[in-house]
Amino acid sequence: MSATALPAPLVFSGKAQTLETLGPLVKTAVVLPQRRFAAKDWERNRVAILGELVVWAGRMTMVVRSSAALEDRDGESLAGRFASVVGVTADDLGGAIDRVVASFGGALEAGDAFFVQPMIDASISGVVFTRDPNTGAPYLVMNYEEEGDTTAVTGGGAAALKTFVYWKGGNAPCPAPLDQVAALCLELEELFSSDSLDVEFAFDRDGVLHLFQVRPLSVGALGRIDIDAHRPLLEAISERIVRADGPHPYLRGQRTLYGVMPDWNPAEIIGVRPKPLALSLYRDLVTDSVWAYQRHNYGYRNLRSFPLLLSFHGLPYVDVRVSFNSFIPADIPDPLADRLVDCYVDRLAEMPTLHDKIEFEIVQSCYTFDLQHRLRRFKSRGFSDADLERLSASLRTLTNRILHRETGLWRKDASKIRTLRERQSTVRDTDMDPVARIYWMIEDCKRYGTLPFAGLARAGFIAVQMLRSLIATGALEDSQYETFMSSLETISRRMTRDLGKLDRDAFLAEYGHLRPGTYDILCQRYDENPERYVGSATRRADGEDDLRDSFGLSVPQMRRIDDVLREHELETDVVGLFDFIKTGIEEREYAKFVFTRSLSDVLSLLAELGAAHGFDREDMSYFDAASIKDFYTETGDLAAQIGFSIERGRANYAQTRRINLPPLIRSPDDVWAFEMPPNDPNFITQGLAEAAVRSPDDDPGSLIGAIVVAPSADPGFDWLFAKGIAGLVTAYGGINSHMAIRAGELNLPAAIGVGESFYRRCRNAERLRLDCAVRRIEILP
Amino acid sequence: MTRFIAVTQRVEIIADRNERRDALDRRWTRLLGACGFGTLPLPNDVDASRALVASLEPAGAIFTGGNDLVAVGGDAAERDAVESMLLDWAVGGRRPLLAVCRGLQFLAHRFGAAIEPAEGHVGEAHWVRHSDGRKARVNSYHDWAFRVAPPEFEVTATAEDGTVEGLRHCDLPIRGIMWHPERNDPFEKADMALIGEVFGGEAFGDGVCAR
Repeated sequence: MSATALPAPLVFSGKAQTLETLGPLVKTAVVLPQRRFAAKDWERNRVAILGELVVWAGRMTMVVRSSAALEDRDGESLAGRFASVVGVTADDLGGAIDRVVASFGGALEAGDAFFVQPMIDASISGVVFTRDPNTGAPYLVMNYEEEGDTTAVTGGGAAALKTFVYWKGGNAPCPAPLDQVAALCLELEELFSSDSLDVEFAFDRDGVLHLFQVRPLSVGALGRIDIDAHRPLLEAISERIVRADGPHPYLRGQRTLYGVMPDWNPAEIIGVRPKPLALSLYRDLVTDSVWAYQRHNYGYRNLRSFPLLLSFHGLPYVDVRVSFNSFIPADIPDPLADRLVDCYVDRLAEMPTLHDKIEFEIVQSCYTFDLQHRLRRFKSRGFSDADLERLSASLRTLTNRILHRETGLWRKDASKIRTLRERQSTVRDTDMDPVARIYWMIEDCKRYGTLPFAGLARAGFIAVQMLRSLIATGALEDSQYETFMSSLETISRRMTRDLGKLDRDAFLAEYGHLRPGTYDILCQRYDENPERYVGSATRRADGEDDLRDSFGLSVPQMRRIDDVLREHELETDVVGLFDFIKTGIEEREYAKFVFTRSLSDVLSLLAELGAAHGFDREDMSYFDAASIKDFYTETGDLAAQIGFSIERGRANYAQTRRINLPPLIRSPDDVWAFEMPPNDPNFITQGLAEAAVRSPDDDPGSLIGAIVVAPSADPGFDWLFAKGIAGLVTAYGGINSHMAIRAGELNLPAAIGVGESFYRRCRNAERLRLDCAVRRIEILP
Repeated sequence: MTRFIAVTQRVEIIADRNERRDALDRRWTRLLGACGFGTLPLPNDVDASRALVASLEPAGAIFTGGNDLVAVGGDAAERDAVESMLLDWAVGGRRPLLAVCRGLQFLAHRFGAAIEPAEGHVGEAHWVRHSDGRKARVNSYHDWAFRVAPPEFEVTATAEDGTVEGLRHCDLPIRGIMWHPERNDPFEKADMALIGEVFGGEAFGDGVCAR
């Protein structure tokens, strides 16, 4: 006699059969009764089947679903390729079955079946993956919709989908009622002896959990990582957050948050999973120390030596408390500063969607004509009139210093940018070894590039706030804002003009250093691939640039603005103010243009340095820019040192790719379980695509190698995958939508659910660069 | 308001004019009128008929006689298509259906019965035995017949040669007869009662069979 054998794991045997087998076994959810028929019998036995179903169903509403022989077999899922029809009454039953059977295509296989189940009135419906297919990590990724139907999730309709991400090791509690889904997942994983499943579920109005489907999930190119290997990665992050909680002797405010969008917005500049080179350059050029020097110089609190960015295994996060401290005027007494920072942090914690608008909606960092109005909100937060008067006075003093016509710091910053241009030529024309050249380019870029740029960015921000608040007070017409902005002589306007005017060599000499991913060595510069960037653009250039309106103020308006300035005790006049606003905005753009030339050259030189020692650009994208300083100051085996830096970067990035974190981390528990904000696009794979934009309506022959921009992630677009497309962008659709699953299976870079407005911008673009690992989409010229 | 019954028509092929005409014996209109119903003749065009049925919502449908099934070599495929559509409509919607002669052959065939050639059923009145034991003399005008009823049905009448002359669906308001009720003058009371029973909305089906 053998010992008691473990029950053999279930195997997938087609959707309907699998469900039927599960029915009596599953304890954590209900499996609805079904009637199943072979698809090939439908035509022959149509009325008999119809009669049987009508009698079985009575007056209930039904769902007709497919169960294809090809579908759901281990290792292969043809998610959503076959139709299912919901809300079917007996009257439409024949037609509904026709549609489901037709979706099998011409030749029916023996295993092709359709089945009918009662339709439940769902209060929550969704799909859960028991592994994150992008990172291969042990997360439950739940995509669900409240008060909706199940097709919204798999069809990627416009309904508001929620995404809840839950780490499977159980380090944090799963909130109800999703804890029931988590329990179901665990039960199914055990039954199937598989840790990568795709499960469809719904709660009915009585809160009963129903299981609709289980199928194997194909995990992306990275492969799977199990719970025990993954746990230490998240534990390190969560412990780091625990340690940093509570007061810090040099910081105001009791607690902090971490975000990818606030302040210097790493998500936008380098992406959420930047390669080590991009991250190390960004830190060195901006967020390690330059950022704090600039804020302090401009009259805010001294945060020197505080890095703004933390890297959670390579995912860059802004330390929100540090950022908010740096927006407090230096002369605000500590107790008031404490309360201000706490107030700002609390507000962001309550309204996470403000994370990319903190300088508009949360912190008060400069004087504006409508400041009193903006400060009203603080009264209900326990600030006295005296507190607010104090803040208002400090902001006025600070703003007056920045605005000053002769001594305003931004003037010095603007002249530093001119110095950088000279030094760029100097470093280029001097005979130096490659390491020294890179070292000096970086050092010059910080001192004469990003530092003054940061100052000019502040000036530009204040300028725009001033302009907007002039409108808010009625001193300026709404329409004058647009006129003013379009009257500016910005670098991007100049570039558009030069594109039509200059010949290619002259154009590239001035603009050739630009690259869509400013910090990304893998992204080509204009002058490295002029065909791609400039070739298509020259056609569009024309003379319409000169048609713009000129901006002017009437004499009564000028008097009125002068009065307003006096009333608010701002020490400038209307001419000085508008000079500041105009120059502030123009110089900010120009400064960025100039410092990115240094940065771009640094990337090119690093590529050359790598090539000289046998490393290609891809290798160099894992290089740590901080090593350059060591190479400059120490002797050693350069090739070995570069190789070591790259290997270390690769190893670190292998971890970066396994981590999933929310855009705003509010507590250590958020590391283990979090809700994704709805308008965050779902990036599929960690691949990269850069190609021309096409729409599904275009000539199919033209789709090869293109990035297709489609309105939804509906299975109806599945044919696109057969056209050899390079990438996919959709307006709507969740991480579990049909196209997301299919793109994942095919390892095709995709951004699913970018939102209506960004979708429109993508559709109108000529070329896109879709970088899924860093979660960025860039519109190329 | 008068309730209408959708009635299928035979296809008459007029070869020398190259026409395919839809035709209905006028006695159908009279029979249904006598039973208190209006007649809605359906054209043998599946889309047109589907639209008519959807918008006029008749009380039920009658498959009338005439034309052989395509399955046994018939040449009126358009009629088979219309009756297929109506069968979906009736079964799916649990709507009343009476299938007469060719109509019953069509019904039985669609539920899987084997249709075979019939001897001595054209123009010769004969006796049938009803399932309640009653014997009746009926007219007969069919070349095809079947002997085994589909499992969902109960046989309500049988000819002396053993072929099925009447069917009742066990769960749905569907009946079939092999004889032509419209061709008797005067109309048989039993046939009028049957029409009243099928379309009058009386309790029907749902476990009446002795299965």
